[in-house]
Amino acid sequence: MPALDRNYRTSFLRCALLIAAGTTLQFMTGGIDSGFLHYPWGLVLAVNYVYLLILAYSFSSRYRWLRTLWDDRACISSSVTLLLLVIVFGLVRQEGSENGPAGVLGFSSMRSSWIFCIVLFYFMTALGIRSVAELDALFRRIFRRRPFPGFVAVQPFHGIRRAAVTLIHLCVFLILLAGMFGSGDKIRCRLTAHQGVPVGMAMTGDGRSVGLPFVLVLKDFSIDEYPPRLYVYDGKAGVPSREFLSAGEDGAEASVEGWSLRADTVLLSAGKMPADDRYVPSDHVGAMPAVLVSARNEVSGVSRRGWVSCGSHVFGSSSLDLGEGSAVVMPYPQARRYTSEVGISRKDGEEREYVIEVNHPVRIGAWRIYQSGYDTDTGRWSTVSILECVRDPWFPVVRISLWMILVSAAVIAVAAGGSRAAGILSGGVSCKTGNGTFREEGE
Amino acid sequence: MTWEYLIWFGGAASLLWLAGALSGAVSGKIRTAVVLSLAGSFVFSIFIAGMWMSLERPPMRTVGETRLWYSLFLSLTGTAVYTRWRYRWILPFSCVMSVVFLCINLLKPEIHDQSLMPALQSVWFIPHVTVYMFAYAILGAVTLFALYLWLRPSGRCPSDEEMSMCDNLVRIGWSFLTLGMVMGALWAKQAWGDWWTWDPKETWAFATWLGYLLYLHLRPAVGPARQDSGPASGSRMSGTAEYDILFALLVFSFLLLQMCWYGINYLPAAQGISIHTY
Repeated sequence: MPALDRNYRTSFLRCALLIAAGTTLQFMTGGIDSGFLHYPWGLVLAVNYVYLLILAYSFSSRYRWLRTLWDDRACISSSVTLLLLVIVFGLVRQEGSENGPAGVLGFSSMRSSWIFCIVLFYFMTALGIRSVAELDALFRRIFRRRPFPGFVAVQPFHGIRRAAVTLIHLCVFLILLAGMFGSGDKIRCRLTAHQGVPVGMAMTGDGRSVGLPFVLVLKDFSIDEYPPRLYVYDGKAGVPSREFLSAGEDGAEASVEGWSLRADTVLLSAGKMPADDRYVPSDHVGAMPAVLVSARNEVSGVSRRGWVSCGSHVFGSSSLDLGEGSAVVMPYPQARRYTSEVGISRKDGEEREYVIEVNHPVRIGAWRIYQSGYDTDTGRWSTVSILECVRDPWFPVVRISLWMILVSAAVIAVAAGGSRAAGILSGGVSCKTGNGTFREEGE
Repeated sequence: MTWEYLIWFGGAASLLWLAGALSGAVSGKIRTAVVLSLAGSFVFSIFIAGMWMSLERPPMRTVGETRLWYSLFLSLTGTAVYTRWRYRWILPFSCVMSVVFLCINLLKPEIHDQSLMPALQSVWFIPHVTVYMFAYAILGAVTLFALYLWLRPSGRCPSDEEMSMCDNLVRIGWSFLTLGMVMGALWAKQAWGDWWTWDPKETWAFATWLGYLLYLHLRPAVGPARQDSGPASGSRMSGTAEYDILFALLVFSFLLLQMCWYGINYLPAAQGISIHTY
């Protein structure tokens, strides 16, 4: 394949040289620390970088080597190289080890390895200049109101598909740009809020304290739980059953591991005194679900009856012995939903109340506060809420780009290809003539 | 409406989907096929609407409830793709997938109440999973087709029509992969504050996406008719050998897809660190 060799050899050689450069830098300096990209330097570099991409496109006709930064061969070779590195990324355990070949090359911390970042940067550059070129071509067509050169017949989806492809190129580039140049601006820290205690500081993953531009007070933490579940624990195998009885109300029944279980009485909030063996309804701190269970062996007919509860940090747990090491047990109920009611005071004096729950973060300027967890030892009685605070000033860029990609991908799914009857492969360029086909000259 | 009625509504929907699939595949009556398939989806959506009213909340909280939406969206997507592309095998394909999830719901009643953890209670959950399932199905189909084109005994070059179907299916599959990835990113930001964390599932999803993207970008260089692409590259290939690269790439990309789908559950590098291993 002489055409393949001649045209792609230099492109792949360039990728190999970039990998070699990345390897050298990795040996010399270890991984990349993106801290230097904090505001304003990340933004300054991003703006200058985009300006250089526009210049590279503008001068491409004059300087052939600039054209090689974004031609088809550059795009293909950078994609192939990136794909290979991503496969390595997936195969190597990302535990940050510096031992072994993978560790030395930075592959076990791929996100901060020079090799990966340089190849990704090259891919982003080719994509960026290509996006500038396509935008230029698109605007020329729109504002000069000319159809495609050499246009003969109408291909209904062609223009729409072209626009969608251009938009996807541009938006993927913007996402990579925000990811690379915005990495120094992103702050992620954990805030442990105790009920009634104002908090203005949080802790990053590496133990650093971060001052927040607001003060947060946890007013109330609440959990909505799923009904308690009863499992049959097999003492010999040492594992609970796969099936379970969902004890949501009195009379719930199920067959579990050869035992017919019935929840005679379900108390969703109960407690018992140490000397007692029965549970009573209770709202005392530490009250947890308790179920009076009847169990009948479906083979032998043996019956058992007793209280089962997951217990808490105040009340002990109970299980129903079924003999031969088996028992009916109740783990802690699963949380269906947990929410934190918080009061947040900003530096300008504004104070408001918010409700934070999973999948529904609260936004304070460039910060977003996420419900992360709670004190699982006390469960529903937790007076501690663990919140994740994330600062991401590039959020709007990425969000808009993602939505544009969503729309464009949907357009491509519908507009992909052309008429099957006409035999056009994609409704684009075809060297045939005849009904439903057209020729398009190159750029 | 309760789960006891699922057998009736599901059964009726399945019969209508099957009738639509047979009508499209065997007799080629497009309008009849589409009407029957949509009727099946309508019957199924009545069951979902009934559950919604009796539960007094959207039926999206348990594993069984989400499987209902899989069946519905897979049938609707299959009908939409059939309406657009008229490939006869699409309706039987989506019919089988919808019925599979219906059967899972009927045969495993314990999943009806199996709870969803709070992180999964998001509007993105069902669309994200559904588009990925459809993408996997379409790309699986094109892989089989590519293997046939590549290895058939006659050894002849694929025709324009055959490559057209290959390209269209890859574009549709890749578009759905893109939709799934983007939905996942939007959901992840909402759930835990990061668009992309290079979780092993995400890494392999990106690799799969790149693999099929490479196919789409290599197509302009292969075959007697050029694809819709950007500027002329001057690097067109010719000859039958170049088809080998394309078909090999499709097969390789499908291997990446399978690694993303279930391979990570067994991959040592992903054990204990991927939230997607289940």
